This record gives sequence, C-alpha cells and structure tokens, in this order.
Amino acid sequence: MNVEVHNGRDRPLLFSPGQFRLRVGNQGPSVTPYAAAGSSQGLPSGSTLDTWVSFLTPSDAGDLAVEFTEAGSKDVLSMALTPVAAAGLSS
Amino acid sequence: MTVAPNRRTVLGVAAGGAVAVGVGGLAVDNLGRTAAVAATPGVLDLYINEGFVPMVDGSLVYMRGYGERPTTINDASPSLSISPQLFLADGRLESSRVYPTDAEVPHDGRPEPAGDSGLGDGLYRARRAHWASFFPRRTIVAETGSTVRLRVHNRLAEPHAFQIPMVVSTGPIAPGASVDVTFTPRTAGTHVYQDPGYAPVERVLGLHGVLVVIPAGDRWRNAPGGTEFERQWLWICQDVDPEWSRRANAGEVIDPVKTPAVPRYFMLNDRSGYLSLGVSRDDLVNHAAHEETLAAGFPRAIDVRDFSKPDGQGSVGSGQLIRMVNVGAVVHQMHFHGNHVWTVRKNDLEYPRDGRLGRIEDGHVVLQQWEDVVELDALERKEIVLPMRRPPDALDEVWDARTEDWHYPMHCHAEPSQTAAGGLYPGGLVADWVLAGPSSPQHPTYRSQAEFSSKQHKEDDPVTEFRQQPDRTFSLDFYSRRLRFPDGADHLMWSFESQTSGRRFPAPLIRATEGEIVHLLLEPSKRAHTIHLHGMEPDPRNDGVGHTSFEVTGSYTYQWRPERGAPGDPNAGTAGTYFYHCHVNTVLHVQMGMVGAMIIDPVVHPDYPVLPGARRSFVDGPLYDIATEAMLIPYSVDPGWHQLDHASGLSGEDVGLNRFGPSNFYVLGGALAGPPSRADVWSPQRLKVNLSGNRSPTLLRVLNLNYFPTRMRFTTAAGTPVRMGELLAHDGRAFRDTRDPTGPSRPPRDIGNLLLASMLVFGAAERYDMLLHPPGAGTFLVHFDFIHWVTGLVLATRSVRLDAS
Repeated sequence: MNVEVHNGRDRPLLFSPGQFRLRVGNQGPSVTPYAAAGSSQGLPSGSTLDTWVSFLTPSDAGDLAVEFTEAGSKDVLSMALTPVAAAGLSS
Repeated sequence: MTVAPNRRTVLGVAAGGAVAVGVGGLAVDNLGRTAAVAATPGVLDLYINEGFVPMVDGSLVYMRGYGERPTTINDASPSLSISPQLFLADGRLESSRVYPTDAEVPHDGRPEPAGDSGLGDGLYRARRAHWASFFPRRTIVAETGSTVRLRVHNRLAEPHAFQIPMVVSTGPIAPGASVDVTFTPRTAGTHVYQDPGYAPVERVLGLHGVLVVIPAGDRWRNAPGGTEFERQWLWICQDVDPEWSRRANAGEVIDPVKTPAVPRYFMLNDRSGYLSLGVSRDDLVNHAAHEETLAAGFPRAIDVRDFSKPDGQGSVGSGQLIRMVNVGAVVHQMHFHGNHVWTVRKNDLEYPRDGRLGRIEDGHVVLQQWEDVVELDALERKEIVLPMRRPPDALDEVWDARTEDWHYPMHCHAEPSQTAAGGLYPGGLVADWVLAGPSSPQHPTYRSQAEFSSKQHKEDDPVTEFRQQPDRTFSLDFYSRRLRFPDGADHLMWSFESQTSGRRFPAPLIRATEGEIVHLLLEPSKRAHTIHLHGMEPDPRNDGVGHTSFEVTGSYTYQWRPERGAPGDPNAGTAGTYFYHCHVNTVLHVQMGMVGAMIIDPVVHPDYPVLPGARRSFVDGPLYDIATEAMLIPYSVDPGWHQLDHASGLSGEDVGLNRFGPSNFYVLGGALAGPPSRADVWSPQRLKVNLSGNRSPTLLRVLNLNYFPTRMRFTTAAGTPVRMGELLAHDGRAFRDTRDPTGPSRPPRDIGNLLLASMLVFGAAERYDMLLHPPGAGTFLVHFDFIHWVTGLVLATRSVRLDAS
C-alpha cells in the first residue's frame, strides 16, 4: 500500500510505519505491517513523506481498512480500502 | 525552586552518601526545563526526558527515561537511556560498553577458548580473568570503593525521582530542578535504579536502569571470593503498556491498582523478538544483541561445587554469569533450553552452598541450585551461571559429529510475554544462547517481526540423525476435540494422543529411565507442530523449536538419552519431573492443551538399592512408595483463546495473546500408579498419602502449567498450615549440599536438614518433587492459589484432599 503522510502540524513529528495497521473486516483484528519502506524518522512541520507498507491478510479478505494512529493519540484514523489484489502469497 | 532532602532520604543513602538539591547555576530553557549543562568531571548527568519509541512492530509508544542529554518530546531520537558508564575505584568515570576496560574484548561478545581440552571430547578450556564483558544501555557499573556522583535533571512537567532501593534516593525532584547524588557502594551486587513514583508506573514508563557493583579487586567474580565467571551478562526485563503511556502523555496520574498494567510489549535489554535474537536486517542492532544479550561460549567441563577449579594451564572450569533484573510489571519465568543454570544469588542474598543452611523463605528455596526456569518477580534480581556445558541428554554420536554452533532459546515461560501487539509469537522477551562449534554459519535475517513470526522453518519429514535402537518408544499424534472438564465446562482442546491413550487431557505421560535411548514419534497430521522436551537437553534438532531447528509437518522421531546420575554428584543426573509441549505459536498451543507430563526415573546404584514397591526419586535420593506416587498440575483456561486458529497472531493480527484472562481454574493429575484415567480430563478427587512408619513415604510431583504464578499450601482440614512437603528436587535436579569443592554433594536430608514446607510458590513451567510427611492420620488439604501475574491478587483457589493413613 502506497501512502503519503503529511505533517500539517506546526511542530515536527516522529513517524513510524507501524502507526499504520490494517483492519480486516468490521469486527476483525487489526494487523501490524509485514514490511515497510523504512523505519521511524522525524517528519518536519509541513513536510510530506511518500512511502509504502505491506500487510499479510487472508487472500479472500474483504472489507479492508487502513488505520493510522498519531503518536500519543487515542484517536484512530480509518480509511476504507477499495478491493485489493494479492501482491504475493505466504503460507 | 528547590526541594530540601528530608531526613528519610538522607538516612536511605548507603555508606556515607549525600543528596543535594537545587537549580542554581544550571541553564534553564524558556519552558523552565534544564538545558544541557557543562559536564563536571567525575559526575554523570542524567536527564529525565520523554519521547516516542518504536516497538518491535513499528508502533510508537510514549516513554520516559534517564537520558544522557536533554531532548524534547518531538525529538526523533529522544534520549531515554544512557550508554554504559563506569565508576572506577581509582576515581575515574568512563563511558564504555565494556568492562574491565583493560581486558580483551570478545568479538561479537563470544569469548574464545584458551584451547581444546586435549581429550578429544569436544570441550574447550575457558580463559581465566581475561575477557571483558559488554553491558547494555541503562547500565551503571561501579567498582566497590568508587564514588558514584550523579546529577539528575528533571526536564518534565511533574516531579520525578531517582532511587536505588536500600541505597540512595533523591526524593521528589521538582520540574526543572536538578539533584546531586553521591554515594560509595561497598557491597558487590545488582541493583535497580528507578523512579518509584506510583510504583510501578514510572518504572514501567521507562524510568529505570541497573547499577552493577563489582568487587574492585575481584573483577571476574560476583563478590569477593564469590562465583567466578568467564564473562558476565546483564539482562534487563521490561514490559510496556501503551495505554499507560498514552495516559501519561496526556498528563493523567495513573493508579496502578485501579488500572493495572496490561503489557503489550515485552523486552530484554530494550529489544523484543527478532531484534533481540539478532536476526533483523539491521546489522548494528544484530551486533549489539550479540554483544550484550545473546550469551555465547565454547563448551567446557564445569563443576558446580567450584567454579574456580583450575586446570593447571591457566584456564578455569567456570561458566558465564547472567544478572537478570526485572524492572517490569509482570512475573517473568526465564527458561533456558540446552543447559540448566545454577542460581547463586537473589537480590542481596547470596544463596548458601551449605545444605545445612538451606531453607524455605516465602515459599522459595534458599540454596544454590539448578533450575531450567528462573522465577523473576517484579524488581527482583537474580544471578545465575550458564555453565556452557555439553547438553547432557544429547547422544555421543550426535555430539561427536557436531560441525557448527548449537543455538538454544532462552525465553520467558509466562507465555503471554512471548508476544507483541497481541500476537507475533515469538515477538516478546526472548534470547538465544549459543554453544559455539567449529563453524558459525550465517542465519536468515528478516525484515520485520511479522515476517519472522510467519516464516518459521518447516520440514516435512526430517531425518533423525544417528538414529539408534531405542530403549523406549512413544508415539504422539495431534487431535482436536471438545473435552468435558471437572467443573462441567466444555473446552475445545488441541492435544496429543497415543495409539492407546484416547483423546484426553493432559496428553499421555512419558516415563523413561536415566541412560535409556528414548524415541518419540510425532505425527502432527494437521499443520505444523513440534515436541519440546522441557528440561531435557538434547541437541537442537531434538529440542523442538522452529527457529533453532524446524517445525514438523509430516513426521519426526525425536531422540535423546537422559543423562545418568551418580551418587553425590551434583553435575550429573536427570531423574525428576518434566513435561513436553508443542513449541509452535507456544503461547496458544500450550494453552490449547498440547502438553503432557514426563518423568525420568533414576538408575539404580548398588549403594542405593530399592525395596519391593519402592523407588528413589533420584539416584541417591530417598525411597518412596510407588503405589501412592502422585502428580498435581495447576492449569487454567481462557475460553476466548480456545476460539482461535492454529496460527493466530503469526501474521501480525492482534488476537489478544498478551492478555491471558483465565476464568476456569483446575488442578489436574492424580495418582500415577494403576491404569491411566479414562475421563476426558485427568483430575484428582483425593489422594492417598502414607504415614511414616511401615511404608515408604508418598512422593508428590507438581508441575505448573498455568501461565501465572501459583502458591501451593498444605493445611489441616480446618485450614491450619502444616509443614508436610519435604522438597527434594526442582526442575529435575536434586537439591544438594555443594560446600565441599571435591567431596560428595549429599542431599540436605542426609545431613539432617529436611527442606520442609507448608507453602511453595512457583511460576509457569516450574516443577518440584517432594515427599509428603503428614503429621498424623486423617484428612489434609493441598490448596493451589492462582495468582495474577501483575496484581498479585488470588484469582481462584482449588484444593485437593489428602487422606493420610
């Protein structure tokens, strides 16, 4: 999943790919990333980061949503995903 | 703003210490926080900072810590810990990861031997007083007689403190204030430094570290004249509760009683899972893990009676010292594969070798002893020796053909600690240790914990190397079935069955005798499983762990030979109580029931014959009555976990495996004589116990299959405590008097000291063997209190009736 992260706050923020999780189904568990383009890094105020993260899901999983939690926040930003095709299989 | 030290604080300073408080002369930024100060020679500045820290799954968690420079919460690399610092007896303060600084530094943390033994036995000679040791971040090393000078700067918005219990305390340090601390450590040992605020809240949030006090004139011993070692390690066990962290960041005051910690991450030296195991794609992290955490050395001959026994060639029969410190919130159970470890000290108490001084305090045996699971309560420190000996239950043929390192896991057996983010086994508090071999092949590396967890090595039908004609053969197949438990509840269980056992729980008992070659055929028939022979120590292929050998999808015959014991020898012998279990997604599979008991009986020595109807619990142990021998097994069920799938959590999904919430509590087991139970679940109604006199006493074996600690109590029917359990052995090793470095090590009972207990406290995976000595005929009770691993509250009590006659 390609993602674009923009820091719209007036202060630098720390970003880590693990802030993204994948929700599988409305009642399903959320999943931690399987891989990502990089590790945690500082994100200056006003800057934008293009990156990617990947997840393992059942191949027939539907109702996928990606969730983002800002560091220190209780709120979870959830974005529904359009149907996706498997990029690879793992057994 | 200043805060005067109170009288209690000053009295708490050890050996002429002092605390001075103030902000005079310090730089303060525009938010009232102390900025970096000019370093004062000989003084270590500690900055109480805050920031966000990536966990093993990449999530960010707010934490606090004693840092080495001032940073802010927005810093991408907040300083929340210090690099190791050394206070030396000559007055110098040095920043160094290694100590002693004038000793040779072992490459990758692994000491090279002085040479081989020359005996063709595959053993090597350990160099004496030669190797430096690496220490992890957060360590302060102080030589006895040094002067430790600290300046603690509180850069946060609320008061904090610096305390070394029983040594020194600053008391509250106001926001923006700094406090000077000076003390002189006189006694060698291992200490926690921490902020005791809302204990354990501030400590768990990250305000912790370890002070190691080393005898200045005896730098390769844990105390003057104490246990000698080749090198030493420091393992700091940490738990992280992101919800506590979030609330702390929001400025909330956390009451740990009202909202106990629910750790979601478990770390060893600030690393979890694949990062702790040194198999990530980050070479720096891997390298640090090897140097600081992953104990490694060449196999050697050791004698636990004397770790300083010279060999006349400048080398010594010592192992490696590991200082284990629990700064977290839960009770950890440090389990070593491959070697038992020798426990020498708990907190400030050096365990005696003298069997006459052996005793039971608060349900724990105080005596130097072998263990394969070391209980580590919150704030507890234990010092153990990893002997680096040849794994005693590996066959000669396998040992002689060894061509490379043998890797063995060390992990906490309070299994929820093996997870991260609710799954991702083994992503928690883990380490491997390495018995070095002729070569060290490269091992696979992984991009993430999710990749590591989901890609454990599997083989269909691996070959049993150097297969021998067995003396005992067992066969186990996987099954899944709902079973009716004694409380009427039905639980879906996964377990093992033999051709004759039927589908019952626990899985069939495995019983063999020392010296026998044992075969155990595993045919999982469904997905991947293993058998780990907990407490048996064969080669890694027969140890049953995926990441150090393989998981089995077809079939595999495990092969091992339990080491024979010899009278008076504390270094040999395996007779005792064990268990076996699946080591795939262990946190779930053990809870699901993939576990059975295992007993190793001793060889009969001519000097210690047995009587008809009696057996010895170890080669020179006391006789017991075979007809009344029994085993009791506390176990509890979280029904929610029994709805999960085989590989739950391994792909990174949060299935709550860090949160074990048992609602059903059981004592399993019963009498061992006679035909096996035909009930779904083997559980006792009552046990028959012999009175002393005309028959040998009854032997009771206990095995903790619960993930949380258990307290066992003997009482009369009216509830009065009764000291009736004579402890003989722990984790398959007899208690012995080891004070004579060359003479026989006799059991304490043989020198007039019965280790009699009315209460025994033991955690996950620990076993004890005990003789029962009821004071008279009648009814007694043995109670099992199931204790929560964070709160210490008793969740349930189950009792079994003992009929003494």
